[in-house]
Amino acid sequence: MIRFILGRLLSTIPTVFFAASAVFFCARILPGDPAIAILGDAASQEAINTLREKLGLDQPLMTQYGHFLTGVLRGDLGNSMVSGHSVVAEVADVFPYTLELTIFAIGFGVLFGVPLGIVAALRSDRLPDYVARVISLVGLSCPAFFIGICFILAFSIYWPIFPVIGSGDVVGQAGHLKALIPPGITLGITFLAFVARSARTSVMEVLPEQFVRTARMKGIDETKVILGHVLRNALLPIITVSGLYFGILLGNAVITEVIFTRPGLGKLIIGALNSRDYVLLQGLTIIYCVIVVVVGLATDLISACVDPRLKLT
Amino acid sequence: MPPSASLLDIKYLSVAVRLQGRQIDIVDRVNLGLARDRTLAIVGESGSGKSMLAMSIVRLLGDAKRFAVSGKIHFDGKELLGLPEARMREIRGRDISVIFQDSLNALNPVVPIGRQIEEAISRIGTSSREAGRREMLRLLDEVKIPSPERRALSYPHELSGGMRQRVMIAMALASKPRLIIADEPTTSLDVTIQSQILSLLRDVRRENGMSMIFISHNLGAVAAIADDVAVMYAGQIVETGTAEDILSVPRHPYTRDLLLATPRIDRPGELRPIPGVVPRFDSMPFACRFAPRCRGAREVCTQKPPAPAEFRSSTDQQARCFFPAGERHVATA
Repeated sequence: MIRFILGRLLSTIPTVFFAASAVFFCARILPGDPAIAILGDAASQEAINTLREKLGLDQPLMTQYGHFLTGVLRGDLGNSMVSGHSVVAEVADVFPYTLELTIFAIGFGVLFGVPLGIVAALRSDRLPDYVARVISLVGLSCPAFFIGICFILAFSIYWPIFPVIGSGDVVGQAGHLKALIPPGITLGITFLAFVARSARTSVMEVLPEQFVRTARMKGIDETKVILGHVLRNALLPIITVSGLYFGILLGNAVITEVIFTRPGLGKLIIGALNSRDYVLLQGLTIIYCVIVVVVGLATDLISACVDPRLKLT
Repeated sequence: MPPSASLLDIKYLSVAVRLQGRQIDIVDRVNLGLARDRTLAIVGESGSGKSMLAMSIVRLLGDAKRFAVSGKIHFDGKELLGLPEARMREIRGRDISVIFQDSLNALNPVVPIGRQIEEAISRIGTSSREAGRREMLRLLDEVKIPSPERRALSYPHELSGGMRQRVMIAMALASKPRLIIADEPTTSLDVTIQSQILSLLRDVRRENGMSMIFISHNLGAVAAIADDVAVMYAGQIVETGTAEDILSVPRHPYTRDLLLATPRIDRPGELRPIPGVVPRFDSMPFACRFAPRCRGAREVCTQKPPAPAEFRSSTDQQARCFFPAGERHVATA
């Protein structure tokens, strides 16, 4: 078990290395310059050169790359070129916002998606199934920015129930929670559609299994047959695909945070991209990589708990 | 046998399946009786409809929309076919339980076997969890599973085929049913394990005073366990009688061929396979269904379906044939 976890973490080092390197070079291929972005178009060439020197941008590319790699190896992701704060501190500031948003979205998706999928499977090709299919189709085909804008139009402007933007921190705990609902649902609805689909598929796969007939043979309630036997076995593929989906969820979280002007990793990375803040961009990429890897690992560990036949090797 | 003595009385039971808009009888007007405290074996090749017949008794045929069951199933004074599903569920797992063939797939792979048995016990209203657990351990002990405490925590894939089949038997016994339907319980097992499971089944049936329907294509197993035998061919019962009569003086040519196709140590080299295969249900011969494969078939066999014939020497035996072996009692109907 411990060996499995360590092995998995070690095997991610090449992934992180390649992702970080790709971002390092891609960012520098992009037109634009952090010094100009910071100082503005009107700045003199002299001021720009001084800042470039300070940021180490005057050095040859490979030297910069070497500095970056040795820094990462020491666990130092560097300081943001724009704010001057350390990348770790910048991330730590906003990470809770992204965390609560994704947790809300996942909770929302699982809480409504799994029952929807089960009902669709049990009533397949009847009205509940059609309703579930339409919800899934809409959820999967509408991008987060579309749903988000619709949400703002409906529930913040037409019926002003929720705040239009921000994290709601200024109005205290209740306001904070209230402000989480629109972006959370926006992010969660696609996940809900995804979960409902995979739940429907895997429940339909489990239903004809012989052990389901055995459970019915015992004469227990149909609810117990479904929850205790069918769902227990259908859970595994749902967990696996949800883990795989997590990467897409993080991507959607970026868009959602921008639409609702929420603080978070997404807003941070967009800002870093716009100001050509190479260091912050690289650091965030590494952090995203680690998050995806850790979630993948957690998915595998949960799967092993759910299905005793799986061996962690 | 008098009707009061019988636990299960099946009359004109048909199971029809919908196939491309056509209704096809996979079980065709079956009459069967099972007395209390006895074992009835239903014998036949694969595809003869014997499992369908058994599953229709407990209404576990699968997709209910695809199957139409008609006829009468009298069980212990109740008519099962008309019962609503809720009442049927009360009977399943309390009065009738089933032992399935493929114990690996018939047990839930992600639940420890002890809990799966406890679930069956909970149906009969055991007072507490602790009492349920004790009963579960007693059942594991009854089906001779060593160190029950430890085994109760095992998952199905951690047990051998024989052990799993013992778990299935324990599960079927849990509710102390009056009827156990064993659907080819030994088919997927080694020969030595087969005989262990057979004697276990025979013992638990006797000790608990239950009746059993034993479905098999293995005549050796049938000889070891059955009191009565019904031979099934292409959805119909072709011969019924006591196990002794059927296995020693088979009347129907199909039963005779089936016995000759069974390897026997005292008659080496005499193996004779039955030519051809069981006809498909969508191209069933209209008269005698066995006629195309029968060595003694004559013209009449392809013209009208035979009625069951009875015999002077053994009154309980019936064979659905125009020309059965042995002296006929009276030509009925």
